[in-house]
Order: sequence, then structure tokens, then C-alpha cells
Amino acid sequence: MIGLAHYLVLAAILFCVGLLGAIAKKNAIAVFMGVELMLNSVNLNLVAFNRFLHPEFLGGQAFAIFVIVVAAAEVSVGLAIILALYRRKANTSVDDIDLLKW
Amino acid sequence: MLGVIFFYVFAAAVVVGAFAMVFTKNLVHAALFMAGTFLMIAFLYILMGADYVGAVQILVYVGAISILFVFGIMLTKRDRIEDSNRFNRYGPAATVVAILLFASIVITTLGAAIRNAPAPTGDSTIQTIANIFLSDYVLAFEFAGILLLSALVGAIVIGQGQLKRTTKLRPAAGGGVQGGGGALGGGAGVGLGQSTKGGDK
Repeated sequence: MIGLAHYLVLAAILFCVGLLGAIAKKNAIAVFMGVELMLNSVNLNLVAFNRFLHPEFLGGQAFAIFVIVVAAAEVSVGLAIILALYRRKANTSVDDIDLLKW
Repeated sequence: MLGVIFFYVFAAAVVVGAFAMVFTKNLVHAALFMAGTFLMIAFLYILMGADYVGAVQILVYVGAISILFVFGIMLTKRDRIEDSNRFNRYGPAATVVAILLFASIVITTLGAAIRNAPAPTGDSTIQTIANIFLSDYVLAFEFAGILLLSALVGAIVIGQGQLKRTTKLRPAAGGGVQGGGGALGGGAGVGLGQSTKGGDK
């Protein structure tokens, strides 16, 4: 029978792959994709905990929807920032974005 | 029994999609793999009985965010799209970090004593979630609306380019600034403003 541990291990795989993409990618958009994958794994954890620990109260699912809202806001603003940076520096490599570096 | 088969099929698709997203060379293919991964995660939500979260996942992630990523990729052109998704110099170190984190999470998970609740009834969750949103979490619900509005305004403000300049900033060769501004501006008032600003330069 599929239990909570299955979903937790699956979410752990997703989180670690997303972390790998977020740390080790050159392109800022690919870094964003890794962050999205990590957010999704957290959502999977929230819904799984809700389903397997307290299925009578749906607070975990409500929290997952809040996470989706914040992720949508983050992606829209983040892609706008990447576009503005691209207009300014003509590439999107995170190694070259050092405007705030002291 | 059918749920077990579905779980393993969807979980395998999620894992394959995630790895393909990170390791493919083409950034557009990575975005499409990401959309497929999100779709499979939505199926997993529905498998867990969270039908509303699954529908929101499909609407927001698969429908909006993935397409937004594709737009972002298309709007930031680079030399070769076939080789646009490379690793930086931290690739090996990040792999080690990810593997260690995964090992620690799995050890913690398998060591925990988990008592799984029985499956909930197959009712739709929309009514319950709506009640939660408008009673317990109503403040967070309103703040989510404010956050979305500010993200909308912020994305427009950040993402708009320099407004298209008219002829007023063109470096004037010789003394033709005022006459040129007045002639090129369409309306009389606009032309007057441009010519005075050009005169300051």
C-alpha cells in the first residue's frame, strides 16, 4: 500500500534534483526552473502530510494553494527582472549578474 | 491495487521528467519537460484525493508558469539554443550536496514512525477548502490577493523597456536642434516640449 513515506521519498528526489538545477545551472531561467521544482516538491509534501496524517482538516491543501500563489507572483516578477537584466547586459548567465557585488 | 500502479507510473514519470529537465541541453526542451513534470505532479495530487489542488496545479503551473518560462526563453535570445542549458563550474559540488541532502532526508523519513490515516471519502474538496479560505485563513487570503496585485504591477514596471525615445535625444550636428525637433514632432505642443528639452542638452 502506498503510504506517506513513498510520497516523502518522491518529494525528496524532486527537491534534490531541483536543488541541483538551482545551484549548478548557468542560465538564470534554468535556475528559476530548479526553484519551481523545489516549490513543487514542498507542495507535494504538504498535500501528502494532509492526506496521510490529518485528512479531516484540509489546512495542508490550503497552504499548498498559498504556495502556488506566491510561486506565481515570484515567477512573474523574476522573469521580468531577467528580461530587464537581459536588456541591460545582453545575456542571462548568473555569473555575469554582479551589479550589486561590492 | 490500481492506486499503487498509478502511483508508481506517475512517480516514475515525475522523476524522469525532473532529471530530463535538469540534464537536457536545450532550454526550450527543459521548459517542456518541466511542464510534463508539473502535469504528473497534478495527477499525483488527484490520486491523493486533492482534486482542487490538482486542478489549480494544472491551471497555474502547466497552463501559465510553463508558458511564461517559454516566453522568457524566447525573449532572451542567445547564440545557440541547442547548447543553452549548461552547468556552471559548481556542477560536481552541487551534485554532492544534492546526493547528501537526499540521503539525509531518506534516512530521516524511513526512521520515522508514521501511522497512515485511512483514505478519506471521495467527496470533492472544493467546499471544504472554500470554507477554510473564508473563515480560518481569510486574512492570508486577502493578503494573497494584494500580493498578486503588487506582483502584477511590479512585473509591468520592471519588465517594460525604456520608453521609446523620440528624436529629441538624437545628437544634434550643428545648430538644427530646435528646428528639427519642431519639424519631427507631430503635434505643436509635443514639438514645442521636445524642442525646449533638446535646447537644454
